Amino acid sequence: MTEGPTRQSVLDAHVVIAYPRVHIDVHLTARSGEIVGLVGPNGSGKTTVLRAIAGLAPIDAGRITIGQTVVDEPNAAVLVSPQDRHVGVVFQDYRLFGHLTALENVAFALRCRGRNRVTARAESMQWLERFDLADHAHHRPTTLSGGQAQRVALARALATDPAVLLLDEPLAAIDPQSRGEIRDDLARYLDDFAGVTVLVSHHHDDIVALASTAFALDAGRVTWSGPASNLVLQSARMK
Amino acid sequence: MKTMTPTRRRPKARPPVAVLVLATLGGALFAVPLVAMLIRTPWRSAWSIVTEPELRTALRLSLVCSLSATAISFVLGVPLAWVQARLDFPGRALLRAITTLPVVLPPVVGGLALLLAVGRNGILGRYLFDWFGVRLPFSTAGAIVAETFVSMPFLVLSVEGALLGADGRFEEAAATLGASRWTIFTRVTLPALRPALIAACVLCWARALGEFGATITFAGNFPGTTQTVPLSVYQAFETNPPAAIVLSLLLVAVSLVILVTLRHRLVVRT
Amino acid sequence: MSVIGHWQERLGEGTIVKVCRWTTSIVLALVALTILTPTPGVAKAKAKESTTKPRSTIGAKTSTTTTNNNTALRATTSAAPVTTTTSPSLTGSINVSAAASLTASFTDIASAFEKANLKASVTLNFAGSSTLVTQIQNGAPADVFASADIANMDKLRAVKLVIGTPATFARNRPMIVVRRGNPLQVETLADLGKPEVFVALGAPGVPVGDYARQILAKAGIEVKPKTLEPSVSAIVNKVALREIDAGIVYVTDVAIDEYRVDGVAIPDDQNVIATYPIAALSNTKNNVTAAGFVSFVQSPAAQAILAKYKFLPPK
Repeated sequence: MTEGPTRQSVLDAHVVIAYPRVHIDVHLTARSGEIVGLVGPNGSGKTTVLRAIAGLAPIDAGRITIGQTVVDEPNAAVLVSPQDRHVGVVFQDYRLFGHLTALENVAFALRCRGRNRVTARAESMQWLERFDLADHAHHRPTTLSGGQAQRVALARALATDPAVLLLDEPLAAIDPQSRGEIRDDLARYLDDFAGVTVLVSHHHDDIVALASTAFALDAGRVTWSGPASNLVLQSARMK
Repeated sequence: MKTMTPTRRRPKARPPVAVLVLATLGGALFAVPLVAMLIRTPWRSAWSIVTEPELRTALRLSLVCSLSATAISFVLGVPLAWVQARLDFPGRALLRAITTLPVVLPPVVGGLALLLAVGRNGILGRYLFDWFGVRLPFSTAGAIVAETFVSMPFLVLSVEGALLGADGRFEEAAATLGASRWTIFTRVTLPALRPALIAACVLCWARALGEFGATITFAGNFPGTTQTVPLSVYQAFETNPPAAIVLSLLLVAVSLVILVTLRHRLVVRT
Repeated sequence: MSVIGHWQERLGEGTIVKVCRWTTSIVLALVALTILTPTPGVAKAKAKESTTKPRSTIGAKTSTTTTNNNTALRATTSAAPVTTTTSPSLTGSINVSAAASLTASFTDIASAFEKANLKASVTLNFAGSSTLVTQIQNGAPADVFASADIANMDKLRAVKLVIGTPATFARNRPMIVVRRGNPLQVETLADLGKPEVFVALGAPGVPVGDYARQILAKAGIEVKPKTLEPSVSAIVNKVALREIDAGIVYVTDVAIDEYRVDGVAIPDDQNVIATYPIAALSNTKNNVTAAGFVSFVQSPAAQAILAKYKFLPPK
């Protein structure tokens, strides 16, 4: 078990991307331990901002800095690949590798970060235990429920000891009955994470429950930002 | 751009008569020659023919050449398919057209082209010979080259199709986990492709096994060195027809086994 | 995961259509080139062809293309105008299957026959004799068969596919064919046995191959050929392409290809003589014209043509 990241991570992301349909210009900052929520309707650009931070969508202008490192700055011709960015991503569809078991999925992440096979498997078992998944360690992702798959994806992302954790609609694939419970579990795990978390959702209540700071996006721009608890006081019903 | 058809449903009504008639004719086109071959097989002498040393030599040679051709096609073809599917560069369409060409070309033309390229006096071949003493025509290696030339496009096309159908989501996930490009290719892309890879290899092997025109033109025809089963059938057809039929039946049997094994993978599915 | 479906869908529209278009254009261009650049000797025959049936070459895959090559690339000899027979004109069309070594001579003989019998037309089919025998046994519509050896003709006689007794209309001498300039200096049959010389012989059942094996056996020389080809044309073409250094074909094959290959004579005491029989086939639909063609081939006019191509007279 690792002690968790102890660095003072800071995220400073000014993301400018010119798509044909929407011009995205979003600037957000966050400190260690902060959980930032991006909320907005579909097409507002929230997932794109997440992908830009992850390194999966290069920006056209602006600058993204993670910790002390500039990872993307077109003006200075700096572009760091996702591999080297120390980000962890939980995708909306989890994207667990189908040919590997839950244990091997997490171990994959650890091996990418340099552990040998034996250490990786041992450590990933610890991660799975931490997420109450020990029983499913040797199951393939297709046999896991939505909530279990989400936890494996989270464990896999955290196992790489990222500076920034990115979650794209983490509760989208959860059925309504389990939503509340899983959201509470998620809140607990995120609290334990010492780095920066950026969370995307179009559900206001998810953001209110999970995030500390919220940014509201519409048509590629930030229309409001502030403490997440203030989100409910917003008059405009953004879907 | 075509869209994939949604879930197949069995029609409850009977198809129109014309369709049934045409379908029967179409089916008969394939079934009748096979049945004719079975009927005309000299079953009594079949066993002695099958155990003839020449036949076993031809079979062994065919297996060696086709398996080698498949192996080479895999090692070269999968990266080629990946480049064609995932990389964007000027001339990609041209590259795709060239690598598809052997599918469309008559095999003899392919054999001739190989002679002009890597024959003893070919544009590259003369250097192969002068510098390395390597002569491809009239050697087993030449037969392997000929078979690779005609069968690799099938592998490339299949793998490229599979790669185009996959959207790189998992590769993205692996990248965010810190995997290097090589790790992504070997531990994420290829394993996800495994069913398609197997099917592609088998298709490639089947094509290599049945290759005739390019082999006889480029590699020549000599028992033990280059006379694979198809060439052997061709020669036996004129000098020993019963042996030709038995050999053909053998090839048909092998091919049927392949096709039946792959039956779920060769038809368009959702 | 589908295989064919995927690439059909993804590549079908654009690439495969493009490839098919290119291939079609290239093939059409080549066909146009071939048709539009006749060589003198073939010009008259081809001109006649366009008004009658096209000369079909149903023969085996490789020999088809190589036979066409031979005909098109030959640079010499014009067909001498021939005045012939006093017999009444024959009519109808016949298919003549002839050994590959007869390609040039029979093309001229067929033209001469058609000139002498304006209502008759001859479709020629060239391939290795053993290939032709197989075709005929399997029902190919041939009216006349001209073979490069007696053994192949006898195969047809044995199953009663031949009318009457075949007549020998020509003989031929096997010869060693070598690359232009003979860089490996092959001068004797024994030289064919040297490991650095790549040799092509006819396959078993092909007359030129059987003759070659007889010759080599008689001389006690062991040759390991690199390939066994289905016809003389295939052997000559591989030598012309310089992939094969030497082979055994006929004197007539070297004579018509003097720009592409050279020949080395085989001493008479080591040589065998090839005997060419011709006969009308029992399945013919036109036995009068078929028989007429068979006689024509033995007439002085046709014999002169054969002699011009360096065939030996039948006696």
